[in-house]
Amino acid sequence: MTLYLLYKLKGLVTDRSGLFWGVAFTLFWVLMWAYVFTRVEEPLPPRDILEKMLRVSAALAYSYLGGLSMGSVAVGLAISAFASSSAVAFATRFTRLTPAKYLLEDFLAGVAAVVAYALACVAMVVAATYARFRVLALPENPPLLVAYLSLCGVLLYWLSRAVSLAMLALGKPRLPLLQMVPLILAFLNYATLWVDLAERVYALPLAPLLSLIVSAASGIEPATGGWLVGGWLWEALARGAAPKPPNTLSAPLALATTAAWAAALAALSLALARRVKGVPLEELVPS
Amino acid sequence: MITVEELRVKLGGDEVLKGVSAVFLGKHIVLGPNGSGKTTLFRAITGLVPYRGRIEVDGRPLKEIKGATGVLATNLAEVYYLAPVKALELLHLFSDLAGADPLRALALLEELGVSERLLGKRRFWELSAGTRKAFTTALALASGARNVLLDEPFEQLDPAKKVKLVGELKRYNGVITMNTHETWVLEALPEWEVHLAFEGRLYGPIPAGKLAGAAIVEGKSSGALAVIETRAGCFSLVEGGEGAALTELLTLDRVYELLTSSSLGRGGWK
Repeated sequence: MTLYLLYKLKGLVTDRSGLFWGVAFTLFWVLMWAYVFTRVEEPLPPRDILEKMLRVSAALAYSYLGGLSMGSVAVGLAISAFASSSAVAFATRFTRLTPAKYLLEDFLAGVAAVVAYALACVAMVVAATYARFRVLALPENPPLLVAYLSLCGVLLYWLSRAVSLAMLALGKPRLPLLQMVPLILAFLNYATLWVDLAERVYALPLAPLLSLIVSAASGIEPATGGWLVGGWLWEALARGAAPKPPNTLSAPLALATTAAWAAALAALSLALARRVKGVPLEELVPS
Repeated sequence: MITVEELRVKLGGDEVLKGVSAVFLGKHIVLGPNGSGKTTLFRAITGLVPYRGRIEVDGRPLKEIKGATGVLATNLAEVYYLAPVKALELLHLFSDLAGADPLRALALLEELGVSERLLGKRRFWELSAGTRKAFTTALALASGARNVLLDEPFEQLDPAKKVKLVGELKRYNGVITMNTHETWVLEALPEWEVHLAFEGRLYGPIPAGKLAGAAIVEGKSSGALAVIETRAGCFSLVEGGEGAALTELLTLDRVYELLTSSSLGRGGWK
Protein backbone atom coordinates (compact mmCIF):
# COMPACT_ATOMS: atom_id res chain seq x y z
CA MET A 1 0.00 0.00 0.00
CA THR A 2 1.45 3.38 -0.96
CA LEU A 3 1.43 6.37 1.35
CA TYR A 4 -1.08 8.20 -0.86
CA LEU A 5 -3.57 5.33 -0.78
CA LEU A 6 -3.09 4.93 2.99
CA TYR A 7 -3.57 8.63 3.82
CA LYS A 8 -6.44 9.08 1.39
CA LEU A 9 -8.24 6.14 2.98
CA LYS A 10 -7.41 7.35 6.47
CA GLY A 11 -8.65 10.83 5.64
CA LEU A 12 -11.94 9.46 4.31
CA VAL A 13 -12.68 7.14 7.22
CA THR A 14 -11.69 9.69 9.89
CA ASP A 15 -13.43 12.68 8.31
CA ARG A 16 -15.68 14.22 10.97
CA SER A 17 -18.66 14.88 8.72
CA GLY A 18 -18.29 11.38 7.23
CA LEU A 19 -18.24 9.86 10.71
CA PHE A 20 -21.30 11.82 11.72
CA TRP A 21 -23.43 10.97 8.67
CA GLY A 22 -21.93 7.55 7.96
CA VAL A 23 -21.82 6.22 11.53
CA ALA A 24 -23.62 8.36 14.15
CA PHE A 25 -26.62 9.22 11.95
CA THR A 26 -26.81 5.63 10.68
CA LEU A 27 -26.54 4.25 14.22
CA PHE A 28 -29.56 6.31 15.21
CA TRP A 29 -31.63 4.71 12.45
CA VAL A 30 -30.22 1.26 13.22
CA LEU A 31 -31.43 1.62 16.82
CA MET A 32 -34.78 2.93 15.61
CA TRP A 33 -35.02 -0.09 13.30
CA ALA A 34 -34.13 -2.60 16.00
CA TYR A 35 -36.04 -1.10 18.92
CA VAL A 36 -38.98 0.79 17.38
CA PHE A 37 -39.77 -0.48 13.89
CA THR A 38 -39.13 -4.20 14.50
CA ARG A 39 -42.14 -5.54 16.41
CA VAL A 40 -42.43 -9.21 17.30
CA GLU A 41 -45.82 -9.93 18.83
CA GLU A 42 -46.68 -12.69 21.31
CA PRO A 43 -46.93 -15.59 20.96
CA LEU A 44 -43.43 -15.80 19.54
CA PRO A 45 -42.95 -18.00 16.48
CA PRO A 46 -40.71 -21.07 16.75
CA ARG A 47 -37.04 -20.21 17.28
CA ASP A 48 -35.89 -21.15 13.76
CA ILE A 49 -38.63 -19.03 12.15
CA LEU A 50 -37.89 -16.09 14.47
CA GLU A 51 -34.21 -16.28 13.59
CA LYS A 52 -35.01 -16.33 9.87
CA MET A 53 -37.35 -13.34 10.23
CA LEU A 54 -34.73 -11.40 12.17
CA ARG A 55 -32.05 -12.29 9.63
CA VAL A 56 -34.25 -10.87 6.84
CA SER A 57 -35.07 -7.81 8.95
CA ALA A 58 -31.36 -7.25 9.63
CA ALA A 59 -30.52 -7.74 5.95
CA LEU A 60 -33.09 -5.11 4.97
CA ALA A 61 -31.67 -2.79 7.63
CA TYR A 62 -28.04 -2.98 6.67
CA SER A 63 -28.79 -2.94 2.98
CA TYR A 64 -31.02 0.12 2.94
CA LEU A 65 -29.52 1.94 5.95
CA GLY A 66 -26.11 0.93 4.60
CA GLY A 67 -27.19 2.68 1.40
CA LEU A 68 -27.60 5.89 3.37
CA SER A 69 -24.23 5.37 5.04
CA MET A 70 -22.55 4.71 1.71
CA GLY A 71 -24.27 7.76 0.21
CA SER A 72 -22.78 9.86 3.01
CA VAL A 73 -19.29 8.53 2.24
CA ALA A 74 -19.84 9.35 -1.40
CA VAL A 75 -20.65 12.94 -0.44
CA GLY A 76 -17.33 12.99 1.47
CA LEU A 77 -15.60 11.56 -1.59
CA ALA A 78 -17.07 14.28 -3.79
CA ILE A 79 -16.02 17.05 -1.39
CA SER A 80 -12.55 15.59 -1.02
CA ALA A 81 -12.10 15.20 -4.79
CA PHE A 82 -13.29 18.76 -5.29
CA ALA A 83 -10.99 20.19 -2.60
CA SER A 84 -7.93 18.29 -3.82
CA SER A 85 -8.37 19.08 -7.52
CA SER A 86 -5.52 21.62 -7.67
CA ALA A 87 -3.24 19.41 -5.60
CA VAL A 88 -3.88 16.50 -7.93
CA ALA A 89 -3.24 18.64 -11.02
CA PHE A 90 0.14 19.63 -9.57
CA ALA A 91 1.10 16.28 -8.06
CA THR A 92 0.45 14.31 -11.24
CA ARG A 93 2.80 16.68 -13.08
CA PHE A 94 5.58 17.34 -10.59
CA THR A 95 5.66 14.33 -8.23
CA ARG A 96 5.90 10.62 -8.86
CA LEU A 97 2.13 10.31 -8.53
CA THR A 98 1.44 9.89 -12.24
CA PRO A 99 -2.14 10.31 -13.52
CA ALA A 100 -2.51 6.51 -13.89
CA LYS A 101 -1.25 5.87 -10.34
CA TYR A 102 -3.50 8.58 -8.98
CA LEU A 103 -6.60 7.21 -10.71
CA LEU A 104 -5.90 3.69 -9.47
CA GLU A 105 -4.99 4.58 -5.88
CA ASP A 106 -7.76 7.15 -5.46
CA PHE A 107 -10.28 4.65 -6.83
CA LEU A 108 -9.09 1.90 -4.47
CA ALA A 109 -9.15 4.24 -1.46
CA GLY A 110 -12.63 5.49 -2.36
CA VAL A 111 -14.10 2.02 -2.84
CA ALA A 112 -12.43 0.76 0.35
CA ALA A 113 -13.88 3.68 2.33
CA VAL A 114 -17.40 3.00 1.04
CA VAL A 115 -17.10 -0.72 1.88
CA ALA A 116 -15.65 0.09 5.33
CA TYR A 117 -18.62 2.30 6.22
CA ALA A 118 -21.07 -0.28 4.83
CA LEU A 119 -19.45 -3.06 6.90
CA ALA A 120 -19.64 -0.80 9.97
CA CYS A 121 -23.37 -0.53 9.27
CA VAL A 122 -23.64 -4.34 8.97
CA ALA A 123 -21.84 -4.70 12.32
CA MET A 124 -24.11 -2.11 13.98
CA VAL A 125 -27.27 -3.87 12.76
CA VAL A 126 -26.01 -7.31 13.85
CA ALA A 127 -25.04 -5.92 17.25
CA ALA A 128 -28.36 -4.09 17.73
CA THR A 129 -30.36 -7.18 16.71
CA TYR A 130 -28.38 -9.31 19.14
CA ALA A 131 -28.77 -6.73 21.91
CA ARG A 132 -32.55 -6.75 21.57
CA PHE A 133 -33.38 -10.35 20.57
CA ARG A 134 -30.27 -12.37 21.53
CA VAL A 135 -30.16 -13.59 17.94
CA LEU A 136 -26.96 -13.36 15.95
CA ALA A 137 -28.30 -12.33 12.53
CA LEU A 138 -25.14 -12.91 10.52
CA PRO A 139 -25.30 -12.67 6.71
CA GLU A 140 -26.08 -15.89 4.87
CA ASN A 141 -23.43 -15.40 2.18
CA PRO A 142 -20.69 -13.01 3.44
CA PRO A 143 -18.39 -13.18 0.36
CA LEU A 144 -21.28 -12.31 -1.97
CA LEU A 145 -22.39 -9.55 0.40
CA VAL A 146 -18.89 -8.01 0.34
CA ALA A 147 -18.79 -8.36 -3.46
CA TYR A 148 -22.09 -6.44 -3.79
CA LEU A 149 -20.95 -3.81 -1.30
CA SER A 150 -17.77 -3.37 -3.35
CA LEU A 151 -19.90 -2.85 -6.45
CA CYS A 152 -21.82 -0.18 -4.51
CA GLY A 153 -18.42 1.36 -3.76
CA VAL A 154 -17.44 1.38 -7.44
CA LEU A 155 -20.74 2.92 -8.48
CA LEU A 156 -20.72 5.57 -5.75
CA TYR A 157 -17.05 6.39 -6.36
CA TRP A 158 -17.75 7.27 -9.97
CA LEU A 159 -20.93 9.10 -9.02
CA SER A 160 -19.05 11.23 -6.48
CA ARG A 161 -16.29 11.89 -9.02
CA ALA A 162 -18.77 12.97 -11.69
CA VAL A 163 -20.46 15.25 -9.14
CA SER A 164 -17.22 16.92 -8.03
CA LEU A 165 -16.02 17.40 -11.60
CA ALA A 166 -19.40 18.81 -12.59
CA MET A 167 -19.06 21.29 -9.72
CA LEU A 168 -15.65 22.31 -11.06
CA ALA A 169 -16.89 22.48 -14.66
CA LEU A 170 -19.74 24.75 -13.59
CA GLY A 171 -17.16 26.96 -11.90
CA LYS A 172 -19.19 27.12 -8.70
CA PRO A 173 -17.08 26.10 -5.71
CA ARG A 174 -20.09 26.09 -3.41
CA LEU A 175 -22.99 24.05 -4.64
CA PRO A 176 -24.22 22.18 -1.58
CA LEU A 177 -27.19 20.58 -3.34
CA LEU A 178 -25.06 19.14 -6.15
CA GLN A 179 -22.52 17.62 -3.77
CA MET A 180 -25.41 15.97 -1.86
CA VAL A 181 -26.58 14.04 -4.95
CA PRO A 182 -25.21 10.65 -3.68
CA LEU A 183 -27.11 11.01 -0.40
CA ILE A 184 -30.29 12.13 -2.18
CA LEU A 185 -29.97 9.04 -4.37
CA ALA A 186 -29.56 6.85 -1.27
CA PHE A 187 -32.76 8.31 0.22
CA LEU A 188 -34.61 7.66 -3.06
CA ASN A 189 -33.46 4.06 -2.88
CA TYR A 190 -34.57 3.86 0.74
CA ALA A 191 -38.09 4.62 -0.50
CA THR A 192 -38.10 1.38 -2.51
CA LEU A 193 -38.60 -0.45 0.78
CA TRP A 194 -42.23 0.65 0.46
CA VAL A 195 -42.55 1.27 -3.28
CA ASP A 196 -42.27 -1.52 -5.83
CA LEU A 197 -40.87 0.04 -8.98
CA ALA A 198 -41.13 -3.25 -10.91
CA GLU A 199 -38.92 -3.18 -14.02
CA ARG A 200 -38.33 0.58 -13.62
CA VAL A 201 -35.99 -0.22 -10.74
CA TYR A 202 -33.26 -1.09 -13.26
CA ALA A 203 -33.15 2.57 -14.30
CA LEU A 204 -32.31 3.69 -10.77
CA PRO A 205 -28.60 3.34 -9.92
CA LEU A 206 -27.93 1.54 -6.65
CA ALA A 207 -31.51 0.28 -5.98
CA PRO A 208 -31.04 -3.10 -7.74
CA LEU A 209 -27.76 -3.61 -5.85
CA LEU A 210 -29.44 -2.98 -2.48
CA SER A 211 -32.00 -5.65 -3.32
CA LEU A 212 -29.22 -8.08 -4.24
CA ILE A 213 -27.55 -7.32 -0.90
CA VAL A 214 -30.74 -8.27 0.95
CA SER A 215 -30.82 -11.49 -1.04
CA ALA A 216 -27.15 -12.34 -0.40
CA ALA A 217 -27.49 -11.62 3.30
CA SER A 218 -30.82 -13.36 3.92
CA GLY A 219 -30.99 -16.08 1.29
CA ILE A 220 -34.40 -14.96 -0.01
CA GLU A 221 -35.26 -14.00 -3.58
CA PRO A 222 -34.47 -10.38 -4.49
CA ALA A 223 -37.47 -8.09 -5.07
CA THR A 224 -37.79 -5.03 -7.30
CA GLY A 225 -39.00 -3.15 -4.21
CA GLY A 226 -41.99 -2.95 -1.89
CA TRP A 227 -40.40 -5.19 0.73
CA LEU A 228 -42.53 -3.82 3.54
CA VAL A 229 -45.90 -3.61 1.78
CA GLY A 230 -48.47 -6.25 0.92
CA GLY A 231 -47.40 -8.67 3.63
CA TRP A 232 -45.85 -11.12 1.12
CA LEU A 233 -42.54 -11.17 2.96
CA TRP A 234 -43.47 -11.50 6.62
CA GLU A 235 -46.50 -13.73 6.14
CA ALA A 236 -44.47 -16.28 4.19
CA LEU A 237 -41.65 -16.16 6.72
CA ALA A 238 -44.12 -16.62 9.59
CA ARG A 239 -45.46 -19.74 7.85
CA GLY A 240 -41.91 -21.02 7.48
CA ALA A 241 -42.19 -20.74 3.68
CA ALA A 242 -39.78 -19.10 1.24
CA PRO A 243 -41.11 -15.60 0.40
CA LYS A 244 -41.97 -15.04 -3.26
CA PRO A 245 -41.84 -11.34 -4.22
CA PRO A 246 -44.57 -10.02 -6.54
CA ASN A 247 -41.80 -8.93 -8.91
CA THR A 248 -38.54 -10.80 -8.70
CA LEU A 249 -35.38 -8.87 -9.51
CA SER A 250 -33.19 -10.41 -12.19
CA ALA A 251 -29.66 -10.54 -10.78
CA PRO A 252 -27.88 -10.59 -14.19
CA LEU A 253 -29.94 -7.64 -15.41
CA ALA A 254 -29.34 -5.79 -12.14
CA LEU A 255 -25.58 -6.33 -12.42
CA ALA A 256 -25.60 -5.31 -16.09
CA THR A 257 -27.46 -2.04 -15.40
CA THR A 258 -25.16 -1.30 -12.44
CA ALA A 259 -22.12 -1.88 -14.67
CA ALA A 260 -23.68 0.38 -17.32
CA TRP A 261 -24.27 3.15 -14.75
CA ALA A 262 -20.71 2.84 -13.39
CA ALA A 263 -19.26 2.90 -16.92
CA ALA A 264 -21.36 5.92 -17.91
CA LEU A 265 -20.38 7.85 -14.78
CA ALA A 266 -16.70 6.91 -15.25
CA ALA A 267 -16.82 8.08 -18.88
CA LEU A 268 -18.51 11.33 -17.85
CA SER A 269 -15.88 11.86 -15.13
CA LEU A 270 -12.99 11.29 -17.51
CA ALA A 271 -14.55 13.61 -20.10
CA LEU A 272 -15.09 16.33 -17.48
CA ALA A 273 -11.58 15.83 -16.07
CA ARG A 274 -10.14 16.95 -19.40
CA ARG A 275 -12.10 20.20 -19.27
CA VAL A 276 -11.60 21.42 -15.73
CA LYS A 277 -8.83 22.77 -13.54
CA GLY A 278 -8.67 22.91 -9.78
CA VAL A 279 -9.87 25.65 -7.48
CA PRO A 280 -7.66 27.57 -5.05
CA LEU A 281 -7.85 26.45 -1.44
CA GLU A 282 -9.03 29.82 -0.21
CA GLU A 283 -12.22 29.46 -2.28
CA LEU A 284 -13.21 26.34 -0.40
CA VAL A 285 -15.18 26.08 2.79
CA PRO A 286 -13.58 23.50 5.09
CA SER A 287 -15.99 20.68 5.85
CA MET B 1 15.00 27.21 -15.96
CA ILE B 2 11.46 28.41 -16.57
CA THR B 3 10.52 30.12 -19.82
CA VAL B 4 7.22 31.83 -20.46
CA GLU B 5 6.39 33.40 -23.79
CA GLU B 6 3.36 35.50 -24.72
CA LEU B 7 1.54 34.04 -21.72
CA ARG B 8 -2.10 35.04 -21.49
CA VAL B 9 -4.54 33.99 -18.78
CA LYS B 10 -8.23 34.88 -18.58
CA LEU B 11 -10.11 34.38 -15.34
CA GLY B 12 -13.83 35.10 -15.12
CA GLY B 13 -13.73 36.99 -18.40
CA ASP B 14 -10.88 39.31 -17.32
CA GLU B 15 -7.44 39.06 -18.87
CA VAL B 16 -5.21 38.71 -15.82
CA LEU B 17 -1.96 38.07 -17.72
CA LYS B 18 -1.58 40.06 -20.94
CA GLY B 19 1.19 38.48 -22.97
CA VAL B 20 3.91 37.93 -20.37
CA SER B 21 7.34 36.81 -21.54
CA ALA B 22 10.26 36.06 -19.20
CA VAL B 23 13.07 33.62 -18.51
CA PHE B 24 13.65 32.62 -14.90
CA LEU B 25 17.17 31.30 -14.53
CA GLY B 26 18.91 32.08 -11.26
CA LYS B 27 17.24 34.06 -8.47
CA HIS B 28 14.28 36.27 -9.31
CA ILE B 29 11.78 38.49 -7.59
CA VAL B 30 8.44 39.28 -9.19
CA LEU B 31 7.56 42.54 -7.47
CA GLY B 32 4.14 44.05 -7.89
CA PRO B 33 1.05 45.31 -6.10
CA ASN B 34 -1.86 43.06 -5.17
CA GLY B 35 -3.91 42.07 -8.19
CA SER B 36 -1.07 42.52 -10.67
CA GLY B 37 -1.14 38.87 -11.76
CA LYS B 38 1.87 37.57 -9.76
CA THR B 39 0.11 34.58 -8.25
CA THR B 40 -1.77 33.85 -11.48
CA LEU B 41 1.63 33.69 -13.23
CA PHE B 42 2.72 31.03 -10.72
CA ARG B 43 -0.58 29.17 -11.05
CA ALA B 44 -0.11 29.08 -14.82
CA ILE B 45 3.47 27.79 -14.51
CA THR B 46 2.33 25.04 -12.15
CA GLY B 47 -0.46 24.03 -14.54
CA LEU B 48 -3.38 25.11 -12.34
CA VAL B 49 -5.08 27.55 -14.70
CA PRO B 50 -5.81 27.41 -18.43
CA TYR B 51 -3.49 29.62 -20.47
CA ARG B 52 -2.48 30.62 -23.96
CA GLY B 53 1.17 31.02 -24.95
CA ARG B 54 4.19 28.88 -24.13
CA ILE B 55 5.48 27.63 -20.79
CA GLU B 56 8.59 25.46 -20.57
CA VAL B 57 10.23 24.06 -17.48
CA ASP B 58 13.84 22.93 -17.96
CA GLY B 59 13.26 23.03 -21.73
CA ARG B 60 10.16 20.78 -21.61
CA PRO B 61 6.71 22.11 -22.54
CA LEU B 62 4.55 22.16 -19.41
CA LYS B 63 1.77 20.15 -21.06
CA GLU B 64 4.15 17.24 -21.66
CA ILE B 65 5.38 16.99 -18.07
CA LYS B 66 3.94 14.08 -16.09
CA GLY B 67 5.22 12.43 -12.91
CA ALA B 68 8.50 14.42 -12.93
CA THR B 69 10.13 14.77 -9.50
CA GLY B 70 12.86 17.30 -8.67
CA VAL B 71 11.77 19.64 -11.49
CA LEU B 72 9.51 22.19 -9.84
CA ALA B 73 8.21 22.94 -6.35
CA THR B 74 5.98 25.71 -5.10
CA ASN B 75 4.48 27.04 -1.89
CA LEU B 76 1.02 27.66 -3.38
CA ALA B 77 -1.28 26.28 -0.68
CA GLU B 78 -3.75 24.57 -2.98
CA VAL B 79 -1.18 22.11 -4.33
CA TYR B 80 -0.72 20.57 -0.87
CA TYR B 81 -4.32 19.59 -0.15
CA LEU B 82 -3.92 16.05 -1.44
CA ALA B 83 -5.71 14.21 1.38
CA PRO B 84 -7.73 15.35 4.41
CA VAL B 85 -5.15 14.23 6.97
CA LYS B 86 -3.07 15.92 9.69
CA ALA B 87 -0.50 18.45 8.47
CA LEU B 88 2.38 16.24 9.64
CA GLU B 89 1.05 13.31 7.62
CA LEU B 90 0.67 15.61 4.65
CA LEU B 91 4.31 16.64 5.08
CA HIS B 92 5.39 12.99 4.96
CA LEU B 93 3.08 12.25 2.04
CA PHE B 94 4.36 15.15 -0.01
CA SER B 95 7.98 14.40 0.88
CA ASP B 96 7.44 10.82 -0.26
CA LEU B 97 5.84 11.85 -3.55
CA ALA B 98 8.15 14.76 -4.39
CA GLY B 99 11.36 13.16 -3.14
CA ALA B 100 11.75 15.86 -0.47
CA ASP B 101 13.62 15.40 2.79
CA PRO B 102 11.01 15.48 5.59
CA LEU B 103 13.64 16.10 8.28
CA ARG B 104 14.93 19.10 6.35
CA ALA B 105 11.37 20.42 6.04
CA LEU B 106 10.78 19.95 9.79
CA ALA B 107 14.07 21.69 10.63
CA LEU B 108 13.09 24.63 8.42
CA LEU B 109 9.67 24.78 10.02
CA GLU B 110 11.23 24.77 13.48
CA GLU B 111 13.34 27.76 12.40
CA LEU B 112 10.17 29.49 11.23
CA GLY B 113 8.53 28.83 14.58
CA VAL B 114 6.26 25.93 13.61
CA SER B 115 6.54 22.87 15.83
CA GLU B 116 6.16 19.24 14.73
CA ARG B 117 3.69 18.80 17.59
CA LEU B 118 1.34 21.43 16.15
CA LEU B 119 1.48 19.79 12.72
CA GLY B 120 0.62 16.44 14.28
CA LYS B 121 -2.49 17.89 15.90
CA ARG B 122 -4.10 19.89 13.11
CA ARG B 123 -5.20 19.31 9.58
CA PHE B 124 -3.60 21.49 6.91
CA TRP B 125 -6.59 23.81 6.48
CA GLU B 126 -6.91 24.15 10.26
CA LEU B 127 -3.51 25.89 10.43
CA SER B 128 -3.40 29.68 10.57
CA ALA B 129 -2.64 31.43 7.26
CA GLY B 130 0.89 32.29 8.44
CA THR B 131 1.65 28.74 9.59
CA ARG B 132 0.25 27.35 6.38
CA LYS B 133 2.54 29.65 4.41
CA ALA B 134 5.57 28.59 6.47
CA PHE B 135 4.57 24.94 6.02
CA THR B 136 4.32 25.13 2.24
CA THR B 137 7.46 27.26 1.89
CA ALA B 138 9.48 24.79 3.99
CA LEU B 139 8.21 21.85 1.94
CA ALA B 140 9.00 23.62 -1.33
CA LEU B 141 12.56 24.39 -0.21
CA ALA B 142 13.09 20.90 1.27
CA SER B 143 12.12 19.35 -2.06
CA GLY B 144 15.48 20.34 -3.52
CA ALA B 145 13.73 20.91 -6.87
CA ARG B 146 15.68 22.63 -9.62
CA ASN B 147 12.99 25.33 -9.86
CA VAL B 148 11.09 26.77 -6.90
CA LEU B 149 8.20 29.22 -7.10
CA LEU B 150 7.49 31.04 -3.85
CA ASP B 151 4.30 33.05 -3.57
CA GLU B 152 4.61 35.82 -0.93
CA PRO B 153 6.87 33.69 1.32
CA PHE B 154 7.39 36.49 3.87
CA GLU B 155 3.69 37.07 4.46
CA GLN B 156 2.84 37.12 8.19
CA LEU B 157 6.39 36.30 9.30
CA ASP B 158 7.95 38.38 12.07
CA PRO B 159 11.19 40.28 11.24
CA ALA B 160 13.54 37.70 12.83
CA LYS B 161 11.97 34.86 10.83
CA LYS B 162 12.10 36.96 7.67
CA VAL B 163 15.87 37.25 8.16
CA LYS B 164 16.16 33.47 8.62
CA LEU B 165 14.15 32.83 5.48
CA VAL B 166 16.25 35.28 3.47
CA GLY B 167 19.31 33.26 4.54
CA GLU B 168 17.67 30.04 3.35
CA LEU B 169 16.75 31.58 0.01
CA LYS B 170 20.31 32.82 -0.53
CA ARG B 171 21.74 29.37 0.23
CA TYR B 172 19.30 27.48 -1.99
CA ASN B 173 21.07 25.73 -4.83
CA GLY B 174 18.58 26.10 -7.67
CA VAL B 175 16.34 28.53 -9.51
CA ILE B 176 14.09 30.52 -7.20
CA THR B 177 11.36 32.83 -8.41
CA MET B 178 9.62 34.62 -5.59
CA ASN B 179 6.77 37.06 -5.78
CA THR B 180 6.05 39.79 -3.28
CA HIS B 181 4.64 43.28 -2.98
CA GLU B 182 7.10 44.24 -0.21
CA THR B 183 9.98 46.48 -1.30
CA TRP B 184 12.38 45.75 1.60
CA VAL B 185 13.46 42.58 -0.24
CA LEU B 186 15.31 44.78 -2.77
CA GLU B 187 17.84 45.70 -0.08
CA ALA B 188 17.92 42.21 1.45
CA LEU B 189 18.54 40.44 -1.86
CA PRO B 190 20.43 43.02 -3.97
CA GLU B 191 21.98 40.49 -6.35
CA TRP B 192 18.60 39.04 -7.43
CA GLU B 193 16.89 39.98 -10.69
CA VAL B 194 13.57 41.82 -10.39
CA HIS B 195 10.58 41.66 -12.72
CA LEU B 196 8.06 44.36 -11.92
CA ALA B 197 4.45 43.22 -12.29
CA PHE B 198 1.72 45.73 -13.06
CA GLU B 199 -1.75 44.99 -14.39
CA GLY B 200 -0.89 41.68 -16.02
CA ARG B 201 2.41 42.75 -17.56
CA LEU B 202 6.04 42.16 -16.51
CA TYR B 203 8.81 44.80 -16.77
CA GLY B 204 12.48 43.96 -16.42
CA PRO B 205 14.57 42.16 -15.39
CA ILE B 206 16.36 44.82 -13.35
CA PRO B 207 18.99 44.06 -10.67
CA ALA B 208 17.42 44.43 -7.20
CA GLY B 209 20.41 46.48 -6.04
CA LYS B 210 19.68 49.11 -8.68
CA LEU B 211 15.97 49.23 -7.87
CA ALA B 212 16.74 49.58 -4.16
CA GLY B 213 18.17 53.02 -4.91
CA ALA B 214 15.58 53.97 -7.53
CA ALA B 215 12.92 56.63 -7.23
CA ILE B 216 9.48 56.92 -8.76
CA VAL B 217 8.73 59.84 -11.00
CA GLU B 218 5.53 60.59 -12.87
CA GLY B 219 5.47 60.20 -16.63
CA LYS B 220 8.12 58.92 -19.01
CA SER B 221 11.73 59.68 -18.14
CA SER B 222 14.64 59.13 -20.49
CA GLY B 223 17.21 56.70 -19.12
CA ALA B 224 14.69 55.21 -16.71
CA LEU B 225 15.17 51.66 -15.42
CA ALA B 226 11.56 51.02 -16.36
CA VAL B 227 8.61 52.99 -17.67
CA ILE B 228 5.33 51.59 -16.46
CA GLU B 229 1.87 52.26 -17.85
CA THR B 230 -1.05 51.76 -15.50
CA ARG B 231 -4.77 52.59 -15.53
CA ALA B 232 -4.02 55.35 -13.02
CA GLY B 233 -1.20 56.87 -15.07
CA CYS B 234 2.35 56.39 -16.28
CA PHE B 235 5.46 56.48 -14.08
CA SER B 236 9.18 55.83 -14.41
CA LEU B 237 11.72 54.28 -12.10
CA VAL B 238 14.93 56.26 -12.22
CA GLU B 239 18.23 55.78 -10.47
CA GLY B 240 19.03 58.58 -8.07
CA GLY B 241 15.95 60.58 -9.09
CA GLU B 242 14.18 63.16 -7.00
CA GLY B 243 10.94 61.23 -6.50
CA ALA B 244 9.89 58.93 -3.71
CA ALA B 245 12.36 56.11 -3.16
CA LEU B 246 10.87 52.75 -4.11
CA THR B 247 11.93 51.17 -0.83
CA GLU B 248 10.25 53.93 1.15
CA LEU B 249 6.87 52.80 -0.18
CA LEU B 250 7.23 49.56 1.85
CA THR B 251 4.69 47.95 -0.45
CA LEU B 252 4.07 48.47 -4.15
CA ASP B 253 0.35 48.79 -3.50
CA ARG B 254 1.15 52.38 -2.52
CA VAL B 255 2.11 53.25 -6.09
CA TYR B 256 -1.58 53.61 -6.93
CA GLU B 257 -2.05 55.82 -3.90
CA LEU B 258 0.69 58.09 -5.24
CA LEU B 259 -0.61 58.04 -8.81
CA THR B 260 -4.08 59.11 -7.75
CA SER B 261 -2.89 61.53 -5.10
CA SER B 262 -3.66 65.18 -5.70
CA SER B 263 -0.18 66.18 -4.48
CA LEU B 264 1.59 64.74 -7.51
CA GLY B 265 4.23 66.81 -9.08
CA ARG B 266 5.80 66.32 -12.47
CA GLY B 267 9.25 65.95 -10.99
CA GLY B 268 8.34 63.19 -8.57
CA TRP B 269 6.72 62.53 -5.23
CA LYS B 270 7.94 63.54 -1.87
